[in-house]
Amino acid sequence: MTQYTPWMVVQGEEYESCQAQQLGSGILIGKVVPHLVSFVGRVTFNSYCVHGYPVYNAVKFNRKLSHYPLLQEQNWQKFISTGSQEEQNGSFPYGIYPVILSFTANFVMTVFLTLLSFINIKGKRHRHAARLLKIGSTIASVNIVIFVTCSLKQLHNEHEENGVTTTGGIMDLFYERLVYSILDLISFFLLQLCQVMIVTRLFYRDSEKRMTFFLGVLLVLAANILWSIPQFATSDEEQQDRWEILAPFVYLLRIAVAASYASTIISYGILKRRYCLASSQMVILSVITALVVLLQPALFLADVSNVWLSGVGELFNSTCYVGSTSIVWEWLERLSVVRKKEEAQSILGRPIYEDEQGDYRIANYALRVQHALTQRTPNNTDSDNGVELEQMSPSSQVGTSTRDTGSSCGVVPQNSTERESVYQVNFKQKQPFAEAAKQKVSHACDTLLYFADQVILKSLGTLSMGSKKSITSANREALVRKRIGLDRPNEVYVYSTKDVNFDSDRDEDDTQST
Amino acid sequence: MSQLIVVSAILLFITVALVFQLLPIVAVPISKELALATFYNSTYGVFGWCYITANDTVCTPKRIGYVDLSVDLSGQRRVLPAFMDYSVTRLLVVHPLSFAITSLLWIMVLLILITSLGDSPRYLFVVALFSLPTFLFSLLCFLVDILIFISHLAWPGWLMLGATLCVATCCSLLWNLRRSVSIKKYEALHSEERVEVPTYSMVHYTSNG
Repeated sequence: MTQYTPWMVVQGEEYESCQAQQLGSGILIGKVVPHLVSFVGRVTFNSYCVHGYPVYNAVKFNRKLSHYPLLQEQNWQKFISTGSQEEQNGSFPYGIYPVILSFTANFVMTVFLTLLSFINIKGKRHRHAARLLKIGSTIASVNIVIFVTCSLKQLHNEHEENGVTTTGGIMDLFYERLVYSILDLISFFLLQLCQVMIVTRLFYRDSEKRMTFFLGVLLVLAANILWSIPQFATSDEEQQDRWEILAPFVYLLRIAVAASYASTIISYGILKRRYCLASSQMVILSVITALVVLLQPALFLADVSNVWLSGVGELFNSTCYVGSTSIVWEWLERLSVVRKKEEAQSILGRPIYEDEQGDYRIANYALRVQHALTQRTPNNTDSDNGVELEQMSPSSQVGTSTRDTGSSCGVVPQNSTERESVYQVNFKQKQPFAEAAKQKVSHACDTLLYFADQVILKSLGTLSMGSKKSITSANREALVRKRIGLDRPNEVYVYSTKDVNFDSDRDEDDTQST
Repeated sequence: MSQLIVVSAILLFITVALVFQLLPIVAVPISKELALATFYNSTYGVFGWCYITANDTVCTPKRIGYVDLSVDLSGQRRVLPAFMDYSVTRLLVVHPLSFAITSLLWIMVLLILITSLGDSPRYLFVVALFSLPTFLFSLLCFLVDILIFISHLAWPGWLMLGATLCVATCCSLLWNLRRSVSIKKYEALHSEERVEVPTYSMVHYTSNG
């Protein structure tokens, strides 16, 4: 029997039937015996065992004609009886059938969700994230298809050669084949990136979107690099000792990240509960979403408490990732449809937040322009047009105070930074070093943020660069013409006008008449 | 006033989280009373474990990662509650790390309360950002305890779940505080620097032509 969790100590019992047994002298009958029948003076029987555990024959067995020796039967009964923790390897959940069931269920779910993501996720909005999801889930599906095929082939070979089918062979295949590890790494990385983009979608402010994206990508990169180190480290014993602590740490880090993702999605669902309860379909989808995102932490708890099969979380990893990405994506899409439907009935457009203006530059600039204009206005008596503007209170005080200092030509006293005109241009003013350095750093940061906004966020959001390219100007023109009704110029519509009476008006009339 | 209440609430939550994280650290072998987990005749803490005999309690030296003293004690190999390898117990290092990070966050939040740093959106952004690894480490502590001790976890171990929830609440409140301070600063900027826009009456137009 195999050891599912590498860092777990399995103290198995020693089974006598797995050791060589002296049967004494007797007649051997069989195809493997020379001349079919032969007398042997000293027979040593060695039962087939895997990793020191007995394995029962899987073929059709006639107990009356031939049966196992008493020792084998006793050992087998001892092995399958569930006693203490370390003896549970012989229990039914660790048998071949639950493992096959787990893998095939995993296979069906992953392939189904992949197909669903190809059918359902369309549109040019969030196209990068959608592509990542499709590629990641396809790689996960390919991986599970290859694995199920190989494991069935291995079971067939084992049955042909030894007449038994063992779980150990499949689990060894799962943990030790490098190709599965590489495909797992790629698909998990892509799906985790997609999860980051999903979390980015939950925020409305650009600054928060940007920060979530950077932090998420950093976390995903760190988690995957750390995960790949023990996976691809050489089998050198010294190196294994060095990295042995890293494997459980990364395992826990993944669970922690999955739990954080689940809590983020669920808290967002609670915040938007009005949309989640908008229709029965949305309620069902919301419940499924909550269950799917909680699946990975729940499987971790199932693993450590050993309720079903230790290490089952690892088997279902790909399903968890594909599910918690594609189902959440669909849920968010539907939520946004419900939200837009509601927004269409009220004020359209996305709100602009104050922290999207870096250092309030736009606001400051607007205020300075406003200030400068108010300084200049009182002197601007346009005599050519013959228009005299009479300033009204209360702003007359401001105008009076600035009248003397303000110049009609835009000449501003040099010692007053407050009185800088918007028309003033300063050439080659030597900046102090600290200010220049600050400006350089700020420029570098601005460039980085611009890159993030233009290349990453805008492609995720409403301003898709690709969509701009793909829609030709003719199409756009046709769209606009259709919107304003110019595509059907010959159709004439007659609108009837009708007075609208409010109940309150009627009440007022009634009270007046009485 | 409302900002003061929010900061006080954050400080309260982070203090509770800090106390909750301190208790597992001072468990056996530092103190004899508290234990992170108990299993048969053994009690476990972050820095070691103790074996209770009929007369006395024998503890391992204080260090990160357990050492197997079973041969010295009873001649039998003792297993950990979740049958984990002894090397996995080195992961308990996340407990002191998490405590240190939470302490730093506590100091940062205290600075918000007692200084004028609370009015700076940038400082609040840094504090809110710092609260994210604090939450992650706190959650990791709980997961490590669950992995090593599973259902044998004693109440100081379960307190880590409470600490994680407290830190999560703090994290959420800090981000909200950053938003509200940012809005407040923006509004203050408007009210302070607003210059009245002159208005002109159309009645007083006089035309030369």
